[in-house]
Amino acid sequence: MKIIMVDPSKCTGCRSCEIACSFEKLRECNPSRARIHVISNPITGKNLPIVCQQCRDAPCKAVCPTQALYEDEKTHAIVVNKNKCIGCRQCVMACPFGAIDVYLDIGHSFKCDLCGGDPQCVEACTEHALTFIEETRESRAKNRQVAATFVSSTQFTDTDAADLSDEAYTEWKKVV
Amino acid sequence: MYGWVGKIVRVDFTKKKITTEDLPKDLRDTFIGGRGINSKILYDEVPPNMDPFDPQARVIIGAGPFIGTLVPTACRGTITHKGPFTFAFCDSNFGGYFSPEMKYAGFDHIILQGRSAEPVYLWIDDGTVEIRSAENIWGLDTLTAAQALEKELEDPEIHTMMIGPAGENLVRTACVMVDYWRAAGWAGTGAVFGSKNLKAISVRGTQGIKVADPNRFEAICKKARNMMLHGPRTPLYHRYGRLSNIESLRHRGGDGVENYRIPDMPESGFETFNSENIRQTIYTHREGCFNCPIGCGHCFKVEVDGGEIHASKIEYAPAGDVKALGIYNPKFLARWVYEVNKWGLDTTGTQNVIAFAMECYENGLITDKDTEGIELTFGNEEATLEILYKIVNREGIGDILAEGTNLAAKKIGKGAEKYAMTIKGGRLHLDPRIGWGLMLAHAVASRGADHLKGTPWIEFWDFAAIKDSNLGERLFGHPRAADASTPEGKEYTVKWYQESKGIIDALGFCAGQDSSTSFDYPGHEEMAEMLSALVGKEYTVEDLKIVGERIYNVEQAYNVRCGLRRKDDSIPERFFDKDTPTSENAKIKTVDRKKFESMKDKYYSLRGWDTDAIPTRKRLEELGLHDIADDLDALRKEHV
Repeated sequence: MKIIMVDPSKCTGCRSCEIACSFEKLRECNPSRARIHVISNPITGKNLPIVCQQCRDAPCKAVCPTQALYEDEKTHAIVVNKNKCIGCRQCVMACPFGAIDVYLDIGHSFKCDLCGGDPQCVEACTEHALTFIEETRESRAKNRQVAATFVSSTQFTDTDAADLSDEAYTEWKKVV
Repeated sequence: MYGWVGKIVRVDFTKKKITTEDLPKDLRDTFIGGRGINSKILYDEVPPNMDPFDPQARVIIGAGPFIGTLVPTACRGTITHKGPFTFAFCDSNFGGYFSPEMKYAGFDHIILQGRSAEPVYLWIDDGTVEIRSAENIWGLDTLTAAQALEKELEDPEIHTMMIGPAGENLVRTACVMVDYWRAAGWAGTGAVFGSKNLKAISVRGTQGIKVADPNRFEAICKKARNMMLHGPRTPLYHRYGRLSNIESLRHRGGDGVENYRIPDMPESGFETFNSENIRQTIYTHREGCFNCPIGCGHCFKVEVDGGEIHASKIEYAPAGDVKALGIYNPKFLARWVYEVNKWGLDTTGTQNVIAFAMECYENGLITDKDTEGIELTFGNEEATLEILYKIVNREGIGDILAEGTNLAAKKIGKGAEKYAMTIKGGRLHLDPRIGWGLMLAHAVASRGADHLKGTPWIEFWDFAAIKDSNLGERLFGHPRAADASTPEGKEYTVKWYQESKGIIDALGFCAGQDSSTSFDYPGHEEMAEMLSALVGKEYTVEDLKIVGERIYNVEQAYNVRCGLRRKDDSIPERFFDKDTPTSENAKIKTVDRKKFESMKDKYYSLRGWDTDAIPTRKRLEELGLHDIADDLDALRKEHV
C-alpha cells in the first residue's frame, strides 16, 4: 500500500496542498474544504501538514453506524460511501487527527481518499514535504538517513590488510 | 461570479457604520482588481488637497482576482492611501495569507474611512464585519498583540494585519505587519491606520472562489508553477532568499553605504556581510507565502536579551538598510529586522531617516545635545537601536525623525535637505547609478524613489537576456533597450516594466516570480491565459497592457492633482555632483543632467504626457479615462 508521508522539516507552510486538494475535489479554490490542513506556528516557525493517516484499525470506520466508511480495494484508503453516510459526525468525533469533516454544504463526511492513487496534494508540494510512497519503503528511507549520518562519523577498519602478510603480498605480486 | 468575490466592504469608524457594496463591473473591466481598483477608488474618493491623516482620508485594501486561487504565488494584496510622507499617491504591497483569507471571507476590497474615538480593531468573520474595542491590545508590539487577538477571538487560524506602537504614535514610516512577519511597509500605512485609531484587522473565511473553466485553469496554473520551479533564479532564491541581491548589486557598484555617500562596501565589510556568511550565521529554514512554489522567505534566529528566538522573512531590503547605516554584521541584521517588525516600522523608511540623521550628526547639523548623548555615527549598532526606540516612542529627537526624512530635514533646517536621500519624499533603496533605466524608473515612479514600480531588471540579472543578447531589441524595439550603460531606449523598457508591474499588482501575482524579474518566469501570456480561464472572459496580452497603462495614468493624474510635476521626477542632487565618489563597477559615474532630462522628455513623449509630466487628454481618452481628462483640463485652466 502507498501512503502519504509527511516530513514537517521540509514544509514551508505555503498551503499549496490545501488549495490543490480543494481544487481537485470541488473544482473551486477553498482551503477550508480541503482534506489536508497545514498547522503553522508563526512564533516557532514550525509547520505540520495533517492528513488522514489511513489507519489500519480505523476508528472512523469502526464507529460508523451505517458502515458508510470502507477500505478501497485498489488504494486501501478508507473512503466514504456518500449514499450510506447520514452525516452524523460520529467519525469526526472518533478521528484522533481531525482528518475527517462533515460540512452542511457538502452534506456527508469527507476525507482524504488518496485521489484514487494520485494524490494532488503531493503533486502540488514542490518542497517534497509530502511524498506518496510504498509503506515498505518509507521506513527504509528513514533508515538510510540515519545510516548516512552514522556512517559519515565512523571509519572503516581495515581487517583484510591484516590477513595478508607482507611476504605473501610480495609472492603474490610476482605471480601477477 | 468567477475569480472575484464581487463585494466591497466599507467601514466608517466615525459613524461606526459598515456597508457592503457590489464590486462594479466597469471597475473590474477597466482596472481588474487589487492595485488597479484601489488606485481608482483613491482617485475618486480622496481629494488631492486632503491631509493623509484626515479622518475622511481612505485606506483601501485590495485583493485581485488571482488571490486565493490555484495561481502560484497568488497572495499579494495592496493597501492604497494618500502617503503620509509623500503627500501623493502611495501604496504598499504585501504577501502572506491575509489577502486569500479576505476573499474567502467574502470581500475583494475593504475601504476604511473615518476616525474612531477610541482604539478599535476590525473582525471580519466569513462575511460579517464587526468593529471591536482594541483597548486590551493598544500599546502592545505587533507580535504580542497578534497572539492576544488569537486568544481573544479564540481562533489561532485567523489572519491578522497589525500596527505596532510606531503606527499608534503616527510615526510616518510605520508599517502594517501582516501574519506576524510579512509587512505592508512602503507607504507609511501603519501611521494612517493609527490616525484612524485602528489597531488591527483580523479575518477568517471559509467560502470558495469559483473558477470558470477548471480544466483549462488547472493546466495553465501548473505550467506557470513549473516555469517558476525550474526558473534559473530559483536555486538562488532557495539558498539565499532575496539576499543574493547583495552580490548582484555589489558587482554593479550599487552597494550605497553610509547614506549613499560611499558607493562600495569596504572589503572587510563584505567579508562578513555576504549572502553566504549571513546564511551561515543566522539562517534556519524557509517559509512560503500562500501557494508559493518558491518560498523565498528566509527564517532566522535572533539574539534578544541573551536568548535566541525565531523570526521570519528576511529580505534584501533590510540587508541593504543595515549596509546603508554602515553596519556589516549579520547578527545585527537579524536584530534590526526583528526590532522593526516588532515595533511596526518600515525597515527602509526608518533606515533612511536614521542614516540621514547620522550624516547630519557627522556634519554637525545635529549635536550631542539634540541626541541626548547618543553618538549617532555610521556603524554604531547601539546608537541605531537607541534612536529606533526614540522614533517609535517619539521621544526627544525621535519626535522629529518620526516625521520621515523630508519633513525632518525641513525641521532641522541648516541645509539638511542635501542629506535627504529621497525622491518625492519616498526613500531611496538602491544607488540609482547602476543603470540608466533603473535611474529613470526611480525618478518617475508614481510613489517616488521606487525600485518596485518599473525598474527594468533586464538591464541587470535577467538570465534570459544574458543568454539572448537580442532579447531587448525583440521585446522593446530598441537595440540598446537592455543596456544599462546608455540612456537610449530607456523610455521603452521603463514604460513596459511599469505596466507589467501594474498588471501583476492588479491580479495579485508576486513581483519576484514573474517575467518582470526574469523572462524565464511566467509572463503576460501566462497571466492572460490564467485570467481568461479563471474569470470566463477572454483577455489578450494587449488587453492586460492597456489595463497596466490605465493604472499608471490614474496614479500619475492623482499625483499631478497633488501638485507633482516634472521637477519632482528627479534623483537626489548628490548623484549629479561630481565630488560624490563613484564605484568602479557602476555603469554611470556622475549623472549628466542633460542626458537625464532628455531621457525624461522621451519617456513623457512615449507615455503621451506633456513636457511637465501631465497626461494629455488625447492619451487619457484613448484609455477611456474621460473623467480624469476633464479633471486635468480643469486643473490646467486654474493655472492659466
